[in-house]
Amino acid sequence: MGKIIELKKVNKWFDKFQVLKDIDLEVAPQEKIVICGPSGSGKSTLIRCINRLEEHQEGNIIVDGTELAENTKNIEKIRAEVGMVFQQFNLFPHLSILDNCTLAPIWVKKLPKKEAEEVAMKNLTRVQIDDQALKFPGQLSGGQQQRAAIARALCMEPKIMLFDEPTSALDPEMIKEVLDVMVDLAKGGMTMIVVTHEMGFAKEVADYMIFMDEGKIVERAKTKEFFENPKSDRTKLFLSQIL
Amino acid sequence: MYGLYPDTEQWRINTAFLILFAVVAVSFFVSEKLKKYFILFLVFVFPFLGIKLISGGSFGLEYVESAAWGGLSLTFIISAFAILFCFPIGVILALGRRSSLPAIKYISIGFIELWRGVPLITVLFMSAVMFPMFLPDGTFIDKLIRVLIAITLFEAAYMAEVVRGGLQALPKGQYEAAKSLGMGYWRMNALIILPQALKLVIPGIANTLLALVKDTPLIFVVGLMELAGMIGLAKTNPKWLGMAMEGYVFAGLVFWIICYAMSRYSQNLEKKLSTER
Ligand SMILES: Nc1ncnc2c1ncn2[C@@H]1O[C@H](COP(=O)(O)OP(=O)(O)OP(=O)(O)O)[C@@H](O)[C@H]1O
Ligand SMILES: [Mg+2]
Repeated sequence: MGKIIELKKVNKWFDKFQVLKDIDLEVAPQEKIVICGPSGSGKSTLIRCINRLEEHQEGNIIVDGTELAENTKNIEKIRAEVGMVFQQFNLFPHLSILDNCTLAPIWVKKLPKKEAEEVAMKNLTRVQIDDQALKFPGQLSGGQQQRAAIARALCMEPKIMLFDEPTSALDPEMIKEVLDVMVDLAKGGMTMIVVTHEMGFAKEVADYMIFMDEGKIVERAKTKEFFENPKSDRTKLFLSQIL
Repeated sequence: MYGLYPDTEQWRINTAFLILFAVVAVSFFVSEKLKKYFILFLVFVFPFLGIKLISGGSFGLEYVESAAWGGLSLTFIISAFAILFCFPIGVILALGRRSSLPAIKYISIGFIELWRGVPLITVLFMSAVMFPMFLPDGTFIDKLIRVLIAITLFEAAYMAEVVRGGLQALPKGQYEAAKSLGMGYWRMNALIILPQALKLVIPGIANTLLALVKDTPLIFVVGLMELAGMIGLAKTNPKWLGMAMEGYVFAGLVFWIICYAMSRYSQNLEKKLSTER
């Protein structure tokens, strides 16, 4: 199968500090990958490089056949087809939930307003907050806001979804409602890269697990193997702490 | 009221202001959709129409040079023009100052710091007295226009810093969310960043604009007489002798009414736009 995301020998520095070291990664369409690892290991930086919210200095990143480089037009095109969900939701507080969802389809994909609203309502229904469409983000609970943020990303009809610790800012009782939406999305065949420490979710949907430490991919394995028979000691230690 | 504007031609100022008030009044009662056109008219058509009407020189209207304009109408004209133009220029400067392109960034910083570092009086003198000396022979820019441009740029520098305050207050996540949806620089700023940033700094914007209106009397130093300046002139007129006190109280009152109206408007705007938090 062809690859939809390819990273080859990617290196990245913040000033003198090297955050990513020789990262190689391939993702096939419809694959689900979960990335875990200790704080500061470079997980966020890695997935933010995939839609170029961060720039890498060495190596190649190829997303859906387009290499990420200086050319801005390509980057906007890539970003339009890569959805991203943030830890802090980052909904637009000055717009209603519906407008949050229709804004980019109207202005970036040039969808007519009516069509954009239909797409938005379809996705809001899918994440089960269609009854909140006319409210503003500040009026929603954390779990509802994160589901709205997922719907907003889905409205661009992305080929790939990136999640950066989508449940870390949520109270425990809201984590499940967001994970349920993500499981549903995974079952629907979306290509997903998820940074999370929700190992139950990882076991349920991930094809591959990636464990990162100090900017390196320490272990990459099929999910079952990763949990039952981790190779590196570093992974074993991490799993024993988190499980 | 009209300064030294010829008595027989005063109807032209009256007409200009009547049109203005009529349009504004009507725009309060029409639907949201029509309102857009009214605002476009006010911003893009009316200023030029009004100036044409008042300065004349065509359509069979007698030319009245700007040195003869004065009084309250001049206060309004200067304030309105400066407010209209300093706002967009200020926004552009604020964005420029945060640009990732060094050339744009340093030009913006240089411009802002230059205008902020000079007293308005100096700027006015420069525009009225010194600037013409640098123009090639034969070119002539009306003094009022030079002064208007000077005030506009001066206030734009202040506006830029106010707006920049708002830009800085927005969390990085808003930029990242906009980018992650495929928005480019202009769409991101126009749809996501500026609406939020400007809302945050409405009080600061109102403050700057109020200061602008109250700075208009300073133009007397270059011989243009708006309301307060006109009263200074009138008190030497035998007819008005001994009325200086009343005159200045009147001027103060008028300025207060203008500024209070603006401040109320900004408060209403703030309420209307507050959606969350
Ligand atoms: N903009 C930045 N400038 C400088 N250093 C940064 C920047 N962003 C991240 N870093 C550093 O890079 C390293 C990796 O950060 P990153 O956010 O990718 O880690 P992470 O694995 O996502 O951690 P966490 O689990 O806490 O989110 C950290 O040491 C962090 O301090
Ligand atoms: Mg992180």
